[in-house]
Amino acid sequence: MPVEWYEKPFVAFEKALNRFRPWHAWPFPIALPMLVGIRARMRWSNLFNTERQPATVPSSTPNVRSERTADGSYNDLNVPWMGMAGARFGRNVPLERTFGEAPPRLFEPNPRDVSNRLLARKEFVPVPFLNVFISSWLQFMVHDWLSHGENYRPEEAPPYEIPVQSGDWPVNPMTILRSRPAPAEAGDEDRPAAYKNIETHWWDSSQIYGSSLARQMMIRTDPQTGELCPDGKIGLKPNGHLPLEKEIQEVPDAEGVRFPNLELTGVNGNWWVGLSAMHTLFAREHNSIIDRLKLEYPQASGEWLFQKARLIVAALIAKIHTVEWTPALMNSPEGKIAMRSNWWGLLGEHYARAYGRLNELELVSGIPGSPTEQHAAPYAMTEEFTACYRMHPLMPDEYSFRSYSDDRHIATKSLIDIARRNVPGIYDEVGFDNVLYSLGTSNPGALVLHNYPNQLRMLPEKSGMPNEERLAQGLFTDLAAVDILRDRERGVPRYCEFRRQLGMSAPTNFEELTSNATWRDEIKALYPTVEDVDLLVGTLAETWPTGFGFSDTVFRVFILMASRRLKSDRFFTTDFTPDVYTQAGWDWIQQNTFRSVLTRHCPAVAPHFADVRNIFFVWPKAGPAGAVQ
Amino acid sequence: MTYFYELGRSRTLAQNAAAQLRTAMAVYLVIYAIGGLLAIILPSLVGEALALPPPYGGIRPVGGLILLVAAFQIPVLQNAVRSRVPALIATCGRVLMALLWLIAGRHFLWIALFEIVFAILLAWLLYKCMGAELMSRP
Repeated sequence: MPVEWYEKPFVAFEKALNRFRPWHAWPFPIALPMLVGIRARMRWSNLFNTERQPATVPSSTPNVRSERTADGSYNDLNVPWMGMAGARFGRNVPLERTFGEAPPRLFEPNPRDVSNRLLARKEFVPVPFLNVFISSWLQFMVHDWLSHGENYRPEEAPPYEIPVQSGDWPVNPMTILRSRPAPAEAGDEDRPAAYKNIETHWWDSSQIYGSSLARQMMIRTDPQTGELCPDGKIGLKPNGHLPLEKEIQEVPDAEGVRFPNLELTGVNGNWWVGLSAMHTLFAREHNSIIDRLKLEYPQASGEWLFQKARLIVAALIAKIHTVEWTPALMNSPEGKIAMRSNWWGLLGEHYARAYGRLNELELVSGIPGSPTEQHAAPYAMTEEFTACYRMHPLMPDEYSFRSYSDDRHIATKSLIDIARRNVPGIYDEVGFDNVLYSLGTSNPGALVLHNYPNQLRMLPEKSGMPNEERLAQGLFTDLAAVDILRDRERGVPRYCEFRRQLGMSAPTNFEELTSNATWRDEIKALYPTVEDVDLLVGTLAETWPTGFGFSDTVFRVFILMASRRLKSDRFFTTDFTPDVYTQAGWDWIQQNTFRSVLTRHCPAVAPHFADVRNIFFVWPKAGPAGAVQ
Repeated sequence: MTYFYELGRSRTLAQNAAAQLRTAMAVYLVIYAIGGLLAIILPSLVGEALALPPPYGGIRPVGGLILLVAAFQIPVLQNAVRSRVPALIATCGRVLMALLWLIAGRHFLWIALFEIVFAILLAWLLYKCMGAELMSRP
């Protein structure tokens, strides 16, 4: 199917002007139609299906038309397996370009050297206008969209061995487990390895509700009684916090790891207090929505209430991500209008709320409510999207917790101190409102070279083991080295080739790669040619468009995939109606934002973000007498 | 363009930009309306000023048309942000009119100059106003 008729002029316009300079170097009135052209072109040139034989699909339930299934099946009624948990990741570059790298190229340059010499945080480089909710929200979203699941265990496939210099790592060589590819199927012989997404691919809040019915039932269980909450609510402790998993039943997390004492939610891997705060807020939001629906539908069953609340939460989260989170990272008129028009269209929010849609065109009235469209391939998260969302530099290494009433210092904690099973203890010590205030008034790291959190470069693999024992066994992970290796292993093209495949110009030498002379010399010392530069290194070295918090290279993937997550999903398109969502639910989505969610569940901290334009911008700190400064 | 991270300052900036546009738009529309009224009330004066050959019977309808076009722009004067599609159409219309006056030549060049000056000024102020409004949102 070709590009839509009304998008063709935009594609031609972008193609013509891109020869001279990229979209962000043009003035706003020219940049905007170029962005429309880029997205239209990429929808037909940068989406590739890897699925050969569709996964086995469980039988349908009577309500698939108006409810999301637990495993994501039947979102597309004609292709029920599309986007369900266990379906393969798609690709944004042609399949013949996605063969995983083999040794020796797989290890060239040495991932640990890249980690040490280009990624290691020397000094924390903050983004001065953003707050740490940026990073916790991002992780919250990624857990909704994707997980590669368990790697091969050492006894199944020998881990990669990365030689390290003496004293650089507890053991030599450093080992990294191999990714577990999807089992090969008929017709896969000449194709590159594909990988399964163990979460639902859809934007369905599976990070909250899980990607299986069993997990969903656990979330819905009242921790006090051990019974299913009768009114469809999420089971919370009396203090409004998530129950601990061991209080109900210990189950493996998304990565297949058993971590007892973690808070219970759909996905609780890589758990830390920022992520926990997001889950807690939206579990409370789910329950508030149930209360609202009960007023309108007092006779409704708990199951019906749960399913409607899930739909509403998922849509609200999608809206927040589209018109609040992403514009915070793309703080320019082009970035804002690109994202706001994804939701409301160029006619804007006022028109949409006052009159609804003018027509079916997404450009005019936004994607939600427009016809569903899969474009060039069945909907799936992609490996390239996964690679672009490797944004670990956003995480600080150290967190200062302070009181929201007077900014009094309470505690300073390392990232490890506030991760995994330590989270409930942080709430006990600091208090939930103070945690939110502290995250809201702290800056995340910038997505640049030399800003990768050092604690993630020596991440303890297992909790509860004495450090000496862990050191002896080398049970640490250098996540930066893993990030580099994973992209190579899974066939994500390196930086220059990646850009070419997205229809962008590629640097022909190191001078064109980055304007930072020091970085240029450092990269040159490690990579033989500019063609060898890894995607992550290139995107962190690249000069950003004005107002942006990330590179233009990753933005191209985002502009494609952000709209695709909405446009491919029946519940955001043809079935995004008051009939399916209920009128009360529909109004809830229209009227609420992340600001209102925070205000509803943590009113005490509301004065601190009352005057920030975007809730993800850094909040002013409390004055000595409690006044907001 | 300057943008702020605070809601209050951003809103103030957007309101100031809207006020500037409104002021310039008001001046433009007043001059425009006076021209239209003159054409209706004193067609001979207008005809002589533009060095048109008599009779001046066609000038009155043109004056009426000018008043009508001015009236169409009142929603933009009231709220350019909400009426951004008409505002964009009006901007394009001004450029088109300027071109027509230029083609007409002679004394119409003064009208062309007026249209060009205001077309550029109002387009710039509209661009600023839209940008400030957009950047006052999350």
